[in-house]
Amino acid sequence: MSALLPLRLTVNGRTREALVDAGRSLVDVLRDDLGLTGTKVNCRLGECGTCTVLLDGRNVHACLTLAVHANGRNVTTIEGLAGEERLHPIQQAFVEHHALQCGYCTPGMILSAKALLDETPRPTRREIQHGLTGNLCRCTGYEQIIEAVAAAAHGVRSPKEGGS
Amino acid sequence: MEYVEPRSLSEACDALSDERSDAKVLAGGVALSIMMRWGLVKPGRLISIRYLEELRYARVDNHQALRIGAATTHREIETSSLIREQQPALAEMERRLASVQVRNSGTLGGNLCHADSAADPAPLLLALDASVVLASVRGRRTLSLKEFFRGYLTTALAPDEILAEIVIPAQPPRSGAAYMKHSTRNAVDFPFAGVATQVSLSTDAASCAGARLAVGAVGPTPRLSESIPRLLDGRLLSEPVIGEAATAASLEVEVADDASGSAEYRRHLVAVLARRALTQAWERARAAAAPERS
Repeated sequence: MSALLPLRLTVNGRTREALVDAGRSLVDVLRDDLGLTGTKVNCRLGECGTCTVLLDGRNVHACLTLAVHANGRNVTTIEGLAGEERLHPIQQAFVEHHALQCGYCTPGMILSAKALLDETPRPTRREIQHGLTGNLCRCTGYEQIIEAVAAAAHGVRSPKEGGS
Repeated sequence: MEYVEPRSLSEACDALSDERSDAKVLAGGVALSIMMRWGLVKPGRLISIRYLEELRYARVDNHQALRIGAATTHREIETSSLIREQQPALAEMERRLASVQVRNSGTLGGNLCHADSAADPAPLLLALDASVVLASVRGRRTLSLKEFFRGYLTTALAPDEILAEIVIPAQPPRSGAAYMKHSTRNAVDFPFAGVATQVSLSTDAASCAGARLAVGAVGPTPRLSESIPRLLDGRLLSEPVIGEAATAASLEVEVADDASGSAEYRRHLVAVLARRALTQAWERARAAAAPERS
């Protein structure tokens, strides 16, 4: 028998606590213990990128990250991006550019895009492709996703939205 | 399962020397978390070195060797300006390893200790003549990477040892290195075949002064080619000579026949990748020799 480990981490700016087994993955703690089901989980092998979250600002697979490795650290999930009234600019760009269909890959895709733009605010198309290689999308063919990330990077608004 | 986070390498070695627990050293967890989920590894205790700053660095020593701490992540190596300058082929290989997510978590030391034959770093580090420093309560020892890999998922690490450092000797003068791989997806997937080489030139830049070539992903463990130095050292380099050497290297390797590719296909890939890698390393060696000669 082994004792459960007390875990204290900051998720989307809030301090959260849980008791975990050392072998438990971060994605299970986020979804099952903390109720943050915005993070999806699929292959559990680090191949699809669906479970991508930010750990201290860097995008990682939450399925391959042991929860204990998030102790005392900052985790950002898709729930942490939008403000009270407004979507995050990357989320808004995904909406405007039809960058999602079934939506399953979207949370991970957006967090990889955020990690990329935080590091490279004005990426080239190639840099966007490279930054998203770890995230599979089986619906869109990627074209609109790349356009959305480029638009978010350049602060491009859709014509409808107009001014400001 | 117990979990400990030692504050120093020596604490980690102490924790690992305790024979009562069936302990495993945990770094990024990219490979180990999968092995544990599948029940292939059932440690009684995890000793995490992921955040051990003492093992996260890249520096050049007095002998111009590049020394990399074992818990340095792939991403840190990829983006290190020192490594880009000292060993550009290493930074390049890292940039194409798996995905950003894997590179942000996975460490170079963890990758080598997992010893998956299809991993990208091993062939390149073999071609660069790298060695590894293993630490335990008994002291430190240095092994060439060639001696470190013992077989499929098997290394020369003793149960109480931790891989502490990877050492890449100074590049020979007028030399270049390259790594080429082939996989289904451009990224993420493990390659079917990976070939790395280092070529150095004579003072007149016409002949080969030394060549090493290593092949990964096709057999149980990454291997250095025995025929390449024999065929190329001292030879006047040309496209036909390189083509002939690449074919010889492909005939020498042990290739697996499995669901992801037939042995025949893999051998063909090795010949193609070896020719491309040798050609690129040769070009880089000529570029390195150019300023000397002008």
